[in-house]
Amino acid sequence: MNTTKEDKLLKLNLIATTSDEKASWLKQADWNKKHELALNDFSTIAIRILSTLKKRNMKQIDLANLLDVKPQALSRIVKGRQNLTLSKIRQIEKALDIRLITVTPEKLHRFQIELALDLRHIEYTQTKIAFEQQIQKDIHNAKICKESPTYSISPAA
Amino acid sequence: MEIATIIEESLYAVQWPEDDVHCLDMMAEYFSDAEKLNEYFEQHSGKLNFYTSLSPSVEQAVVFTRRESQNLLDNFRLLAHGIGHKTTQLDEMFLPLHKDDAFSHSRYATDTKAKGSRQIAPWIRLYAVKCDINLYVLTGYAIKLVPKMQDDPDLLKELRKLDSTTTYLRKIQMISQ
Repeated sequence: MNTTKEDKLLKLNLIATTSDEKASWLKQADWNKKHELALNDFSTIAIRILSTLKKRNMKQIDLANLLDVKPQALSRIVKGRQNLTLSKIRQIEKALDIRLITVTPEKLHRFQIELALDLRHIEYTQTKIAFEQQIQKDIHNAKICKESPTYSISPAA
Repeated sequence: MEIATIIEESLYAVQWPEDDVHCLDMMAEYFSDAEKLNEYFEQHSGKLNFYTSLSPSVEQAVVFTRRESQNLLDNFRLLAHGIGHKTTQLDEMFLPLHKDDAFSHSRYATDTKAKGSRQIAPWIRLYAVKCDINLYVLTGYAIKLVPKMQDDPDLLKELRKLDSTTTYLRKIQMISQ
């Protein structure tokens, strides 16, 4: 005889345990969802720290001491389960002498490009002026020496 | 073997005698631990070449696995919070495990697997016994980086878990003989 789904559910409800506390998997799933946008970064930072420790033959406790944090706190970081502040990331970078995150503000970036262009223009203008001055000087000398030198200009770096 | 309620009237999970918690808690714990995943992929880095289209580094594999696991858990999370469609979603998530053997396999109708998504890290597996429409008992989880389950000792263990859970559920008439 086939058992109906209702019968199966009755049996399951008799044998299955339930917990009043929020399930561990659900806590983890909720945490993941809350930090969804940074989850990849937490994992990547954790792996970078672990690989640096391995390369330098350091233990997690060594880094915990350098950061002045409890080993449990560092453990959460290397498991990728800590919502890291930028300040904490900079502390880790300083302690391990590595770069984990680079912030490039857009305005500063544009400013840097404009500055670089201005510098090239100044360099070009200065080269042009120097070139013209050199021509004038050589023409002046040529009048005296009656020689004609050759000229070339290098493009700005 | 103990059975824990995950989502009432639809999803349950086995807690094995050697474990302190049921297998979904274990999966959530393991796949969200970058340190453990890093250790696993460093040990099995050669196996990552199995997915030639991805060929990820160890670091990428950890990131992908965690992301995949989050997708998988999120489906259950939505159901648990009553946001998803409880009546249809589990049957869409769990697919037959023995597709190649089809009906010749004795557990074709009951052994199932779920993946978080098929693009990010297609190697995550969550195994379950199907008892009825939208009624599943989770038995375990694994990372599958081999063509067949028989090629990996960890996956063979998962097959044995499915077998023993099926035997138990048949005994108590949760699934037909």
